[in-house]
Amino acid sequence: MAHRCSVNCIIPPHILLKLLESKDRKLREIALNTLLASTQFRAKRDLLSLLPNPMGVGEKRRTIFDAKNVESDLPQGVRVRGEDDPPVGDTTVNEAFDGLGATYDFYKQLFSRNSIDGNGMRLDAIVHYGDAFNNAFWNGQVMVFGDGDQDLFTSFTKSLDVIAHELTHGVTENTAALDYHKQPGALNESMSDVFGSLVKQWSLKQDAESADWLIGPEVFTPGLEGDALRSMKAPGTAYDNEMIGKDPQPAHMENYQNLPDNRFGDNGGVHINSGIPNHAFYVAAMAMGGHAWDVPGHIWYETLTKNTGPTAQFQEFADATVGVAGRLYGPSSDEQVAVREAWREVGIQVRGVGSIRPERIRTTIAKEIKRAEAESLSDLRARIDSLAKTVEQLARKVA
Amino acid sequence: MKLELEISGGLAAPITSSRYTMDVSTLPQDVQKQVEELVKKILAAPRPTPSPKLRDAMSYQLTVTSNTQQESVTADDGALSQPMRELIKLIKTSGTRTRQGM
Repeated sequence: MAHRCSVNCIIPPHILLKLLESKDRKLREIALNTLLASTQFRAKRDLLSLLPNPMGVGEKRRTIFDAKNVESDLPQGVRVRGEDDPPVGDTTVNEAFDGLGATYDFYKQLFSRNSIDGNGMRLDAIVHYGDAFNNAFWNGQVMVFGDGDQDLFTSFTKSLDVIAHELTHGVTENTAALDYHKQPGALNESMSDVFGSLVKQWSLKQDAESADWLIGPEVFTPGLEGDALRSMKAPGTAYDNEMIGKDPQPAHMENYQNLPDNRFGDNGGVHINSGIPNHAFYVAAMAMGGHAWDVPGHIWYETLTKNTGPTAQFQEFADATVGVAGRLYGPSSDEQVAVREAWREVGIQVRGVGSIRPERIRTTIAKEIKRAEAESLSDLRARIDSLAKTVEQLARKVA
Repeated sequence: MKLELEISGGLAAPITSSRYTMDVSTLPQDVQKQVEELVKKILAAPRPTPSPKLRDAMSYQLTVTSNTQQESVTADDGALSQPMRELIKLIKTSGTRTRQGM
């Protein structure tokens, strides 16, 4: 068939760009892949920004690149699996592909969100990045996963919650755009942990009670003592050993860590103080029971995407979740009370509408009506008295 | 010449943050020469611009101290120059880790 050429076939770029408009999906894909393969990576970034969704809206578009353990400017690597490709022989590639798929499906099915930007953004991931690279990160366009040094860490693609964590950074960037410093930064990290964990729970069909609430339990090597990178259930207890020290995450505002707002202070402890909002979500989910992605997940998603902004502090975010819970499930509903109590348990008091129960509202209204009635009667008597005096004066004049 | 490498940030920041030091004069002659050339290239290049969109990236601050001066260069995951990458690898393998964790 005419369009079955490899990515190496020589087609002028203007024709390839024209082919991107073709109705034939396969042809569009080949044209795009050829363009990408023949373009330097910096140029690729520019191209993708010009064509934010060349493959069409509403489609899951995953592409995995293999950096082959080289570290260089991003994006990079050899394309090893695309959306329509079958599994490959490399487990890491398949883990990344499946993890992106599960995360995409989670956002699409539960929140009708079409990918990271809500508009079908391509999901690109680079695996086997760097040499013994102990990290996974999001660079604003792609997710990058290292293989770990095999001393402390194994491949970061082994944890679905880590993959979903990185992808959620993209969702946050496209919604609340929480600053990556201090409390907004810790909230940014917490959003990635919350939805990272929810993707895993949803994938395993676990309820709040049976979930492990751990972030990255699979990335530690078998020889490394510890449960995971973080624990939402019990922040500060994920690991404690001589090799890597003790988990420093606080679970309560009393233990909030004021760290320098620079690289060496983890931008004010964004990966540390996230333990506080993480735990609030856990407490709320446990109080409500059932599947955490249902009610608590929806409250947090609604807050993240529509009810908070770049500079939000813990208090503002907590207030917003209680407000959202009230709007979605009713003032003083069990759901709203559970959210408010969850924040209280981590040391954040939410006041206002969330703390007023209907009985109190009814009593207050009744008092107000009585007061108004009393005031009206009193006014009326005064006006009648005044009128009577005026009539009396007029009568005297006539007489 | 003494080198200090401060690694910070990352998905597992509290664990992976670390500091390494290396006294270049204690290295074999051929490695010394290699390190000096890498340092020269790194200091001569324009300073990397941090990307505000990076999340969970690790940062690498290299501080070079000689008899006459002290200079620092910081770069993040995904934007390390080739000489910086090579030097980081050398420091990790031939230097001394003086701190692990935050």
